Amino acid sequence: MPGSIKVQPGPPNQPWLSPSIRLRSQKESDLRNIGTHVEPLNGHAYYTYVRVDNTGNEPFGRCRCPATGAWSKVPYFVDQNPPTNGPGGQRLVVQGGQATLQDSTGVAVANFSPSLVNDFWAWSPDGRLFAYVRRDYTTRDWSIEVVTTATYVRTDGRTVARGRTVHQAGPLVSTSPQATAGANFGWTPASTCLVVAHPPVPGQSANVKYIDLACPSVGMSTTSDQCRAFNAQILTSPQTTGVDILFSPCGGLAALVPTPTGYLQLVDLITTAADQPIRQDNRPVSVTVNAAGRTIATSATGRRGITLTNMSYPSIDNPECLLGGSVTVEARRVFASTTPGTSPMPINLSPGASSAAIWNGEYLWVELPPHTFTRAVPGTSPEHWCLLARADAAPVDAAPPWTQFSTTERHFAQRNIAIT
Amino acid sequence: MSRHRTVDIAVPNMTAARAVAIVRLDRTDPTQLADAGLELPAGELDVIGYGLLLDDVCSEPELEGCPPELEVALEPFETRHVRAVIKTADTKKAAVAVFGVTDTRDGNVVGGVSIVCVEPEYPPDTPAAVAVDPSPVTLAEDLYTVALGDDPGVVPDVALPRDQRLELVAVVTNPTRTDLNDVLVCLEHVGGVPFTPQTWHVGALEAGGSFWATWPLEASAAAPGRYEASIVVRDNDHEPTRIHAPFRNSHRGDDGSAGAAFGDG
Repeated sequence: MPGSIKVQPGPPNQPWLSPSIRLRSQKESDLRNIGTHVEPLNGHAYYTYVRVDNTGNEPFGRCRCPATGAWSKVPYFVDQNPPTNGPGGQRLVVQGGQATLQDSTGVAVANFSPSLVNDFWAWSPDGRLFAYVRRDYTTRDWSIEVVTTATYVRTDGRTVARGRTVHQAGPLVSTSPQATAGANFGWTPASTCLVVAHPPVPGQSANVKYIDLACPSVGMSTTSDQCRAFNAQILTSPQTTGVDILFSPCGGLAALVPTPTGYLQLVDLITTAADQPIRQDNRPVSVTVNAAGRTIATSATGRRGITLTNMSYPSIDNPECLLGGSVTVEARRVFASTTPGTSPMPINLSPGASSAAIWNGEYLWVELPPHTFTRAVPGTSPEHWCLLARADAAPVDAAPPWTQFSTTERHFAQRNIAIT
Repeated sequence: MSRHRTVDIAVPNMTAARAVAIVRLDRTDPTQLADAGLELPAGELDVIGYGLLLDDVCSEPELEGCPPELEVALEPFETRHVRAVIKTADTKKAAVAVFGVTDTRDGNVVGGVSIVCVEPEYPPDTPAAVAVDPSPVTLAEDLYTVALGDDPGVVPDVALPRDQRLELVAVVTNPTRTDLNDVLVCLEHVGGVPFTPQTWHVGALEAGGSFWATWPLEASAAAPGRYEASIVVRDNDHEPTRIHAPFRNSHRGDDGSAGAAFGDG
């Protein structure tokens, strides 16, 4: 079960008297233990504290991926007699001049027009995507098409349906029929990226190589199913004779490692399909590769969590586990009302919200900015008010909107106060 | 001698249909509030009478004609106000009486208000809790801002223009002689200046080590001036701890000058 928010209501017969909201005239430094609630004096400023429990099994504020391990190259496609059986019972059926991708029940997901017997293909390791490479020995053309075998949600929130083409390239002519091979293509083990090392075209300089990193998680736009690809142009020189592409254990990063020397480059494969700034202690650095035999390993979360050998820095920050989300807590002051969620004229307690990282099984008292409690006209304006609190951890555990306030809803709480 | 305690309560109907609310005032057992986090005295307050008023239908000082239950007819989107009046005997002893106002519509309790009458008055101030085993992670310098995406380790030598997108920078450091593990830094609030919430997983922070934590800040959405930010730090071996730090929200030209200082100022 993911993280789950709980703001304690009041006693069963008076749920609107929540113990999880307290006003304090003083700053509290400990988040697990604070002073008792005080009733505000007119014209004085108070901090509002809201206790938020995480009753789920996962933290709020966790990073995207904490996996560690050595960075590795992708396994290549098999271009001779590739397997026709895929993950989860999927199959590729080549028959009568047509190649059909079928799901486990035999239903066609996508069709491809094969060239001759030289085509090859590969499913992504998670079986969610299928790449078909068309290779024509006669014309020396090659092309690739990537289709989805299951519906999935991209990082930008767009849902891509099954059977949609998310990436394609070609037809492009190559220098020879044998120039296009399985070694030109590969899926990352985490299924986050398809590597396409373009076979050379006639007349292409031997000092230039083109490599695409197609990222299924990153869209061209929110209105398109097409995924974005990072296009690398590799220029070789006496200092840099080639580039190795290594992928992180989480699959969210690629490293372009020049051989034997040159500048290290990182690529984000999850959100941007673009350069990922290299940082140490969150300050930008430029890393040079000093010699052959260099390695990259994710050794820890966060700061300096990527270990480098034979490079100008021994470690850099791990962007895959450096940032996490948080719980957002808001509070409002409204007229004392039997149904305060629908009470007119709510007065915002604070113009902003507060945030917190709350681990599973723990609680924290979250502080809201100080607020001056006033009765507009002492003696005539109401003395009694309600404080309402709302804790939200969207998208993991989203709170209902304020208009659906209820003392029995676990994201909300209410406490009465008197301004004297 | 006696004392009248009054609470005005809104009874709203935010629907497009007419409604009838049965509003009822009942005395309840203070022990039922044991889970409410109130520090209440053990003594029982002597209650002389209590009732509800709607549109001044009874004589407040004597509570004559004030019933404990009212039928409140509500037009669509109408809000009416009910006044709860509780008359207690004067006392110098610490004592409490608890009442509950319930709002019942179509047989269901849809809401309510609790009224706690307490002598002496609830304290306006109590001591802050003493932090036990706080995280030693601290700020190495005052908070400041840089242009979004810039090196957070380089403090701008001139104030940035108001339309510049900014990041708040907190340089956190380990001032101890031992390494800290699983260090986390979270910006709780900036005193009302809008910001993008995010949690930094700093991880291991060796003795004397520092990390430049940043958060995108909508500084132009808040008035120039002095604010107090709250940053929460934690590590594997200590309790999560709150650090309050001043922050001056100022931009080039805010005060008519060509520039303004950052940080505490």
